[in-house]
Amino acid sequence: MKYGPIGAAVLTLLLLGSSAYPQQQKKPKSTLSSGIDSAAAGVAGGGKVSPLADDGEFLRRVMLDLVGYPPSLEQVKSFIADTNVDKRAEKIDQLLDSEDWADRTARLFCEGWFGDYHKVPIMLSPKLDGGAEQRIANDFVAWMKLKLSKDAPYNREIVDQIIRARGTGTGDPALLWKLACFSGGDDGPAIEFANRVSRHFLGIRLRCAQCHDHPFAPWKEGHFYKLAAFFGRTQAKGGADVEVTETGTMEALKAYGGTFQPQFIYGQKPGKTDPWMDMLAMCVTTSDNLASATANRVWSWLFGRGLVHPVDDFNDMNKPLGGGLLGVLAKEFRTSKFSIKSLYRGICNSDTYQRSSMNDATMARPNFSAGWIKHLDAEQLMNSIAVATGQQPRRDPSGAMGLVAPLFPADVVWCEVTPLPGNMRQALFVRNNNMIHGQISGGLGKIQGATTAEKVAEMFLAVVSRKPTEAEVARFVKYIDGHKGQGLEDAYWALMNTTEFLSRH
Amino acid sequence: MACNKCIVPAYGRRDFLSFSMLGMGALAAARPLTAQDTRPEQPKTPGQTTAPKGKKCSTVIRIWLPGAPSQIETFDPKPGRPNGGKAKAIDTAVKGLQISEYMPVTAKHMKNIALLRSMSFKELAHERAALLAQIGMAQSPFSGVADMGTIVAYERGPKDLQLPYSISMGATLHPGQSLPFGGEYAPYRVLNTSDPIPDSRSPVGKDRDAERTTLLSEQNKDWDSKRLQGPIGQIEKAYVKAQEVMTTPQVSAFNTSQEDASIRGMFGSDGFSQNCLVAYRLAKVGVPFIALQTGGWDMHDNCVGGMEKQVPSVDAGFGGLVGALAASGLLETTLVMIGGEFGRTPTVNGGQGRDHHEYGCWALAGGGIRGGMAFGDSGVNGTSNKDQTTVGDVWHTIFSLCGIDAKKSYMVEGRRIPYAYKDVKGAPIRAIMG
Repeated sequence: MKYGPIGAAVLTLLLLGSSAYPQQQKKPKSTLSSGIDSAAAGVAGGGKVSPLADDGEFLRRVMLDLVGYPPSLEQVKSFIADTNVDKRAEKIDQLLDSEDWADRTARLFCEGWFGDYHKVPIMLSPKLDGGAEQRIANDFVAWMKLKLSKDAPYNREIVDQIIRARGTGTGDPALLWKLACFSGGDDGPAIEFANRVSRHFLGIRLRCAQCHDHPFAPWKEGHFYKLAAFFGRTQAKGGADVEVTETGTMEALKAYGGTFQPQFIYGQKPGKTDPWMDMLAMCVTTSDNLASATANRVWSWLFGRGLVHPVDDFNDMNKPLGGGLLGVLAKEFRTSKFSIKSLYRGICNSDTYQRSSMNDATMARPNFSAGWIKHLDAEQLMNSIAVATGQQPRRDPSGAMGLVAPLFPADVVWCEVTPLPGNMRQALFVRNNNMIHGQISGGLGKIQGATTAEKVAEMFLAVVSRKPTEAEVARFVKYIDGHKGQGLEDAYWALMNTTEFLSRH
Repeated sequence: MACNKCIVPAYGRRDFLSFSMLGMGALAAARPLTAQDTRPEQPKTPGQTTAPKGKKCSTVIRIWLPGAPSQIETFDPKPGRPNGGKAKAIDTAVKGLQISEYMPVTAKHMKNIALLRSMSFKELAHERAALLAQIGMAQSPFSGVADMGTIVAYERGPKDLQLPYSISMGATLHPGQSLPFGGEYAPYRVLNTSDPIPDSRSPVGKDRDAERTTLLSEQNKDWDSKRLQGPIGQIEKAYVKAQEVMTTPQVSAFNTSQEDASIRGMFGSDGFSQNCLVAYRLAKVGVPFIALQTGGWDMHDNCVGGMEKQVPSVDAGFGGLVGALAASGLLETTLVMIGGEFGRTPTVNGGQGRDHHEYGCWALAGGGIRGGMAFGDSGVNGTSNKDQTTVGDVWHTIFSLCGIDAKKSYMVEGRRIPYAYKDVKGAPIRAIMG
């Protein structure tokens, strides 16, 4: 392994640091974490790399990513003061075991699949009752959350159940995904099903092959329609509850010019007596695609961009960034029996994830030499404001959406994507909004300190989760002391409007 | 290979690898950019377009009528015919050209308006047709595709404009999120015209705001300069724009009470008309794209009676807007287009309604449009379609009048998207261009 000048300096510091606590030995990194680091080092190409983020920056980053809100003043203080050498690994475990992680991650999956999952259009005949529609959506999210919190194998217990979902809404909480195929679009549910299976689980845009052979992948039109054919017999009827059965005829697909029989993209066909959906579930959950596509999706949530980007567009002309990096993720994801928590744990414990966002060498393109900076999603933005002003973060988007939606130009969702980052409307909101202005006093109320310098230090911990540098203390003390009466509030406001506060770095 | 399901990558290199091939303007020199910054090729600062200076169109106002109004009760009446409904035809300022009696204001200004009476629509589902008209794609396979407004705003927006470049009122715009062009060119939605840009005043007053902004700038300069990556530059730019909006006198464009009484008197008093008046004032300060919307036109039932109630509001707004723009000379450089997703059937159904139809009528005025004419002819019963024009032709007409090269392109998720995507292929309608 090669170290650039900074890497070498960090190494030296780490060695010196550990000698101060000879009784404590840091636990070794997992295969996944070290695999990520050696693959990422190849991308950085042996150039300069940034040191690891300090405790405050790390804690803020990992909390925003895993639970959707930053640490409170008390949490930052106690984390920084903690001398346990394994405190980062333990914090990651603690977050992954929290209800808030399962909750946010369930919502990330659901928004990735449905957009705003509160409003999934389900067009059935007879029409599904409004109450039932709401219940089916809520049940699905709750079911995802439960599976994730129990760390259920993603392939066997989540994707498998989604593809094999059938029966009534009250009987099967996984039905929403399949019902979303009945979107009332021009093409009908079977076509929509093939499109969604391929994008959500296989990471490919097989739909291109609906009209023509895929230009950069081996997919032909037949692949698409034969995948759609698995859904050919599926029917759903609405009313007070929904019922999904597989007793229909293949009538719907005849419009597409053929009597397609179900066949998976890699050739597997159901036998005469095999239930089609069971067969398809088996093909999908054992395919290499599922592991790579899922690992890539999780990576994109943590780094702001998939190694393959867009996350559902694996093709020959869109090779993953980072050489073997995705391969390492996928392999370890399989080894862990498709444990989403292990995937998160491995990524978050890697140096690659924990690097400081500071980079003195110009990064011509993202290469993992420094921590990646991304825009805050709606959940992170609103919760950062809440926590910085001494309030509790919220997980449930309802209620906040009225405030959030106008900040974005089109249909905004709460956590999965931030449609238009950094627009003028968002800047005005944080800068001038009266409600936020009124809440600053709530944050200020928690700031203690005998001197202005001490107060500045606390303020930095409360708002940007780190200690200020000497130059920053000087800058803020000068301002506060020069503006009696309003200085503290102004300083707090200024920190809450920094690029640092408004990005996840 | 014609297909609407996907967009084939123009070339297979990952977009962030190819960004360096694209010019980024001044910011690019200052800091490296990520894939989000894949700006259009042949970059240029707004305002410096290839358009010959002078009388080229510099503002486009799109009046969108979601639901698709009937052409027969508006621009193409068929009085006395079996399916003509009950709307009579009235004379207009142009001899021999008649429109529906529900549009008396528009009739007065017909000299400036061109009707496209043989619009031909391929998409007959609301959403696909609306997307086609607004983003030039019947279906958007991913987010980030630009609205027509973003392209016009980017190409024609004056440098000294301190308001948003693309403003929409009454509209919930569709996925034209315009990611590649950056936040400043995305459609800015006005939710409430009495508070058009919420939070645009500092809660602590100008002087104190200026003081604390200095502290903020110093702090940002220090922290940001050590992080040459990611969204840092976009957040900084958003703050610059926010400060412009807070201080600009241009924001008074939203204050209609400041308008001359003679102009105000040309508009109706309802919400739509007042939005049209705001649009007039926004055009006056140089906002390059303004989207207006008023809905409720999907009259499968009772179209014959419903239109009588609903058309006058649109007539007052649209007619007033064309009249006001003409009166102040702005119509020369301001184009107004009005239309819905498609036409409605010339036959009346059992419920006195009209259903979706592939033929219909749109109207254009100003910005180089030759007014006082109808191009295309739907025949005596409204069932034929002579001199067909398409949504794509209208896109090309607008681009041509604005001096925008429709072949230019921008990058979204690794795909190169031409300004006029293949769904809106067509040609400028020379017959209505002055």
